[in-house]
Amino acid sequence: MTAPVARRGFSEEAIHALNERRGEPAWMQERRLDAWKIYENLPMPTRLDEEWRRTDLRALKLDDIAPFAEVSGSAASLLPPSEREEAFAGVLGLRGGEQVEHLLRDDLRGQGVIFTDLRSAIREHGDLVRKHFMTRCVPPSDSKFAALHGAFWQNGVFLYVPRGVAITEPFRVIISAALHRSASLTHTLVVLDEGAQATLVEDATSDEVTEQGMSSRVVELILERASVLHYVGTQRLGRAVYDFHTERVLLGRDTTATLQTIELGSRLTKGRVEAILGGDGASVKLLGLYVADGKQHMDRYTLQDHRAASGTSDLLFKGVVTDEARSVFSGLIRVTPEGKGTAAYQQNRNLLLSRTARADSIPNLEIGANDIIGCSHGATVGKVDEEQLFYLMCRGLSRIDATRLIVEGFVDPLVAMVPVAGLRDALRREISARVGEAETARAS
Amino acid sequence: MAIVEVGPESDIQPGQSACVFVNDIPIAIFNLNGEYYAIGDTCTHEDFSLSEGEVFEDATVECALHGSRFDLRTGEALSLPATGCAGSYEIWVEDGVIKLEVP
Repeated sequence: MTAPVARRGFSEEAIHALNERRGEPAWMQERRLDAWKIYENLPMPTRLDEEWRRTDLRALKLDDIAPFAEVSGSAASLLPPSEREEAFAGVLGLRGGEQVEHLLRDDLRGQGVIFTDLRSAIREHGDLVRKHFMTRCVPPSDSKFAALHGAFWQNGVFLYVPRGVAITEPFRVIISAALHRSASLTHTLVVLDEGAQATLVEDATSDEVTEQGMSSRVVELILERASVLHYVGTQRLGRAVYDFHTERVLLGRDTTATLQTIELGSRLTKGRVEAILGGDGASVKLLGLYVADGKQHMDRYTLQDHRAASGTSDLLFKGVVTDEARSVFSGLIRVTPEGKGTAAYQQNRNLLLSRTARADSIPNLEIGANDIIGCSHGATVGKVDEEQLFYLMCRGLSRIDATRLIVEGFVDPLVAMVPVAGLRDALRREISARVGEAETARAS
Repeated sequence: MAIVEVGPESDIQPGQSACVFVNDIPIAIFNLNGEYYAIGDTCTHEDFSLSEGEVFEDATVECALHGSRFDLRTGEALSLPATGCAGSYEIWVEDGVIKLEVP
């Protein structure tokens, strides 16, 4: 059992208490305090800021949220039984910021692969973490919530794959939190050295709480020359949770990345999914799926930032929005004058299942180079096709089942790319059940 | 349905408005010449707070961002660019306390 270090609210005093408890090195204490200064100097975003124009934070009571929560529940394996037979390169489970499960294949350990929780990584691989943690990928100055994260991050994942090591099996991470009037701030730091290859699949979950909680997730993915990464992040937080996240990949020369996010939970989620193509010949796929019902609000900003020559980026985000839920997609393709030979595509598709659901899609292009292969974007917001429904109902399906089948077909190309069978099936079941419930409630 | 106490009548004087959150849902409350109205606080066009808008004698409020008018009695949008209903809530004063009925 771990006692909270502060009752409610974020403060400098709480940072000192945290550092004392953890026994962190001085450099981390300095970083936390520097981040706190940035946090205090930045104004809380309001709807007068363009990025926050469609997201209302007035209901968020940060002063009423404890920066740390007691660990509740057992320390049993977080890996679902359906995944126990699957082959993983490593497994890491965090519950309330405490590591409850850790496994790394011995052969990979022997090759110099590091896969551990971030607290241990600071103790055992301090120089490596110090070099990359919130320095060049997602610095605290990135945003108000990145600064808060830098000051109060609790734990997270550190994956380092040395030069030339290629790993086929995925690393599996499960992050579970209580979030009853408390916060979870987890950090993922992945560094792939030259020619390395890895897959990381992480799932953020929480208890189903009735009072407000807060989640902050920062994912830093750093790819050195010719490395290959497939990252999947799923979010299945409780329905009273306010979730703020940034997933950013820094792509070096000739690197390849797939960055995939799937968001199903939370009361409100505000996120950034960004790829910075800083080396020539880099290639990235950004894939996203969000399913919102009830009064959920899901707002994300994406960036494909081409800062070097011959880069390729391809984005596909799909959303299913029903009941009185709301989604916002705002995406930017930016090509700097150095981005000659860029090919960049962006597509956002939304399916509305009720008259009161709303999806906003705002794609943008900012092209600063003349000599590009092509940059294009597209956005759709529409209802389920009545002709498709009619076709299926003619074959004996109810309207609810027909709608569910069409939604499954809409989302499945993205779900199918999750490289863990057990998680893939769980996501399919959850999406199908939620659509069925929403349609049944609407029909009754 | 649940009945929620907003606060004493004196908190929202005639001509004033306020935004309250019930289950994280923003609700705009207006006192127009002693008559209370409650509608959804979010403009259905671009999300601006309707409690910050200008209230007119015909029981309408104009969104400060793009000028859409909403009926304070029903929450219906009366002019473009908004088209969706902001929703409305039962509101009354009992023993000097403003009360709201919310789903």
